[in-house]
Amino acid sequence: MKLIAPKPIKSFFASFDWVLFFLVLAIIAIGIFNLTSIANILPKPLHNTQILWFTLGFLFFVIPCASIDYRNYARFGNIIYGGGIAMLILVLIFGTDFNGSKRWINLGLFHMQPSELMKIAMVIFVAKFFATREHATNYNLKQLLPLFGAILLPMGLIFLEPDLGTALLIALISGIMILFEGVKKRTIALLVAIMIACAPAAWFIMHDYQRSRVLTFLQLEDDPYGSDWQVKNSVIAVGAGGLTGRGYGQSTQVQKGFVPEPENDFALANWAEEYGFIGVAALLFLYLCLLLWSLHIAKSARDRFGMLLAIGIAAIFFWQVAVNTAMVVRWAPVVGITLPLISYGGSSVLCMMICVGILMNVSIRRHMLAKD
Amino acid sequence: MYNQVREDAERQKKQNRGAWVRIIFIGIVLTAIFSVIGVHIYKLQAEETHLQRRAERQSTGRITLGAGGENELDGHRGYIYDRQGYELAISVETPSIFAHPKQIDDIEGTVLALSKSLEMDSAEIRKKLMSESPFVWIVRKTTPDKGAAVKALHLKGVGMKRESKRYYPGQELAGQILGFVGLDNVGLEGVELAYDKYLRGDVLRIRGMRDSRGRVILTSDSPRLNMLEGSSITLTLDQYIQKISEIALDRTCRNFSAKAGVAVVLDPYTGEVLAMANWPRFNPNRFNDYKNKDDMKNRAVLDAYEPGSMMKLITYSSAVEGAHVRPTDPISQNHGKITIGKHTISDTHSIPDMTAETVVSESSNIGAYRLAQKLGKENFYNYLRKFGFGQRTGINIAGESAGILWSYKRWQEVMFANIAFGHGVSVSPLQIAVAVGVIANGGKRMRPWLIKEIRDHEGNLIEKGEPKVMEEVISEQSAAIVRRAMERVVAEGTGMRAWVSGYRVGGKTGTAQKVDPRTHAYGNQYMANFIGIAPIDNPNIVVVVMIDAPKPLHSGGMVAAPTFAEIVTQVLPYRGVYPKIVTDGILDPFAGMAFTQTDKTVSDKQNQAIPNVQSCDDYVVVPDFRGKSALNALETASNACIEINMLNSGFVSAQWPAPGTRVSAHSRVELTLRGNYHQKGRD
Repeated sequence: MKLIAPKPIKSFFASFDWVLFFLVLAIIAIGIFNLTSIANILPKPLHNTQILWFTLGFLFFVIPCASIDYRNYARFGNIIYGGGIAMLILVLIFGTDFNGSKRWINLGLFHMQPSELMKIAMVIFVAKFFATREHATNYNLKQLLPLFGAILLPMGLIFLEPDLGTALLIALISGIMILFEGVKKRTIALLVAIMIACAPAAWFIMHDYQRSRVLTFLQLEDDPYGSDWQVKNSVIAVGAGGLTGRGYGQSTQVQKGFVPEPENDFALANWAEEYGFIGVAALLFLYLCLLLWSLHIAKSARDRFGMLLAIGIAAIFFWQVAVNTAMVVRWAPVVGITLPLISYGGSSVLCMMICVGILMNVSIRRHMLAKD
Repeated sequence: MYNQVREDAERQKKQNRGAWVRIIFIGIVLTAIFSVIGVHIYKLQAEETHLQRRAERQSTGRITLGAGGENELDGHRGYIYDRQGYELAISVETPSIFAHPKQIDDIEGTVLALSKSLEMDSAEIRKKLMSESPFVWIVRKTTPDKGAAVKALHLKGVGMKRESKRYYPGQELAGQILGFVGLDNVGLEGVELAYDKYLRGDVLRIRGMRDSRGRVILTSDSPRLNMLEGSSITLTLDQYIQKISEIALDRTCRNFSAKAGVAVVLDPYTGEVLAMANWPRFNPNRFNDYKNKDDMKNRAVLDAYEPGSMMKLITYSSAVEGAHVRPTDPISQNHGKITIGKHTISDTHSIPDMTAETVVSESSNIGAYRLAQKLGKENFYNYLRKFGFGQRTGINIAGESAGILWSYKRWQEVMFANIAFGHGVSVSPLQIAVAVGVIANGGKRMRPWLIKEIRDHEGNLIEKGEPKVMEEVISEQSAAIVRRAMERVVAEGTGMRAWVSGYRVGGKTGTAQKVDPRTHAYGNQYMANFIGIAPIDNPNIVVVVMIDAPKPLHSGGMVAAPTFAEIVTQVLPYRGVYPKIVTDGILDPFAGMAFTQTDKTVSDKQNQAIPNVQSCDDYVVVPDFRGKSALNALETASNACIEINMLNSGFVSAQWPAPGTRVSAHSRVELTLRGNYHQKGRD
């Protein structure tokens, strides 16, 4: 029987995760490059602002989030969760109204979207929940009930904004973490049954525009010039790219304004039209590398909390990439989920920078800390 | 201690193995999901190539000139000018009102507001607004007033687009020549049709001119709108001569309750068409109001008529040239009647001591046949071809008639005789004008032309009309002999009413029985024709007047000849040929006779026909033109050293500058004419 020899403890900088750093940097670079090509159709060019956001995000979020030992997140997990909930309540009261939904709090410098931060708070909370309970067997419903309560509360608040996409995203991210920890088959069956039963209820509490989006997505409602028309143009944009793309600045679908929000939710459409399948494949490959690397970090994390944090962050990345891509190719209704590290926007960038910071933190601490 | 460590390690290991499996499983699932997305995108990009075409199509907004629709740019159609540069057809920006029915909340309110300000039937508007289509025109090319009224209403879902509209400032002036333009700026008749591709300009394909809503965006890279402008066309027509011809024709046709009428004024030396008047008149600004398509057509070119006795000029010319007939050669009238087979050819009156020249001046059918006989069928036929019979003149007007001239091989003797005096053969008014032009210019058949020049929107010359000799038909000597006979027609023969004071003119009357379209036999309707050269001693213009089915008089000498005189009296001074009183008649013994015969007319007309010899001061006072006829106004202007520009027809109803204004000599005064001169008489 051989003892597991503890690895030598390295300094913060020596244990810096360059793979993660360069993967993230590559994706960010693509995003900024993508923004430059559509600068001419935007009211003002955004790539410089985006660079500023990333720089600020790196300085004030990646480095602090990576520096503070992540075990402190577990310690303050409840407070972080509580803070997130408080912000969600505040946004419902003081939020700025854009297009009929209150998702943003005006912080003067920028509009903050508390639901973005809630995703991370939720990951920390779920990780802490499981890290403090050590079960040899899979969980049953009774054991998970408090967690479900903690998930449904922010979901409900976000749904009230209304922001159906992010609400569902909270559920999906938490869901991956719960499934990762293991749930009894009976419990899974029961949860699925409950979800199916609740679906009609969800239909009734949905807003008209949300129903309309679902209906047009299912092609049950005619919508010649509404959101579905725009999504169809996004599909045309992707298809127009062909194998090698139409070239930098040649994405007429985007340049002529057929595709909505090319700097934000539909950034992929522009990328796909300009660089075709080669460009899309390269980007998806980078994302896959990032996700697999996150899983690698999770696998080799020093403790269970760290592992769950990495899984949770990977879940955020994964779901956002998957949902956003599905939206662009019209596999999913338009739900306002951004493409991580690519889409423009302060809240989105800062949220992603926190995610990267946490991931970096877990990664660095693999070498800095002895296993407990 | 050791156990504790080992237990810990065991547990960790077990747990780790569980995590390991799950992490690898998650990794596989992630890779699989990404692959599915990747494959789907590959399908979209590599296989669904129609998406590429669709994107291409969407992004290249096709901009066609003049084509309708909210999304298209409407370039100005090129102008049409007369030879002096007066605008005959212009393009103006007019508002068109459209609606997006689905955007309208209050249909009834919108219907009410629109019908009130557009003065349209509310049911019609309601029907349009109830339409399923996302875009409907409420009214195309309406007046600026109505457009402004609708704009002021700020109705939701109702918009206005500026469209280019054709406007013909002269109203009926040269209506059938110009033709007209449909709502979508496509020429449908006349010059507008024949030269549509020039007037319209090229169809431009401009990339990147439409945004996602299909709106046209003009960026700085886009061609400027005037790039879309078509070329402009200058006609050989002279709006003043055209106006005079139309006025004269209109009066004649009304006085004699005619079915239709044509007058053509031709410059015999160049072949330029100076005027081509058609009656009934046609106003291309209101082409929708004309139910009878015949009213829109340019009969002067499109219709062929039997020339009747006008033909005798051609027969005489051919005989003089081809059979060396001299004017004094005696021709037997055979007591006014000859029989060919079972057909009888007769003259209306007996002509004592008929000569070749009096065949023309007294219009003898038998004499014409005799002249043609001197040539023989084939020779006569060849001369007719040389004069342009049975072939298009080459004026380049779509649908031009070539007339009918059967081959001499098919001529029976009676047909030969008939053709000699203008039956059994048909020509368009333009064709006969060209043929007589040969006599006027000394023997050359010129190609008639209407398009003086075409210039693109930057003023570069694209096409230029040039005189073209088609054929040397007769000698100058022969032409002079025929002109002499023509003058005699007016001086003492059938065409005395064509007499014009102060000028020597010549011509030939023609009264052709019309073939009844039902019975295919000659009926009791006539074409009253006159063709003449003015002045005959120094030809300047050829004028042909053809009146279809006049009542109660029907002879060319009574109906058409005065119209000729009316046109010539006004056109010659305008052309710089001033009247002189014929006193000595050195060249022409008949002139004096004519003078005495129409003595009274001469003294009357002396006051009107003003030689433009007076000297002008530097500054002159604008006279009062109001209430004057076009002719009177012209004379007044000439007296006052003023040039005038007349719009419309009738009597002067407004003028600018006002009477009494001091202007420099030869300044232009704009006159707007209105009303029906016919009811009030000429002076």
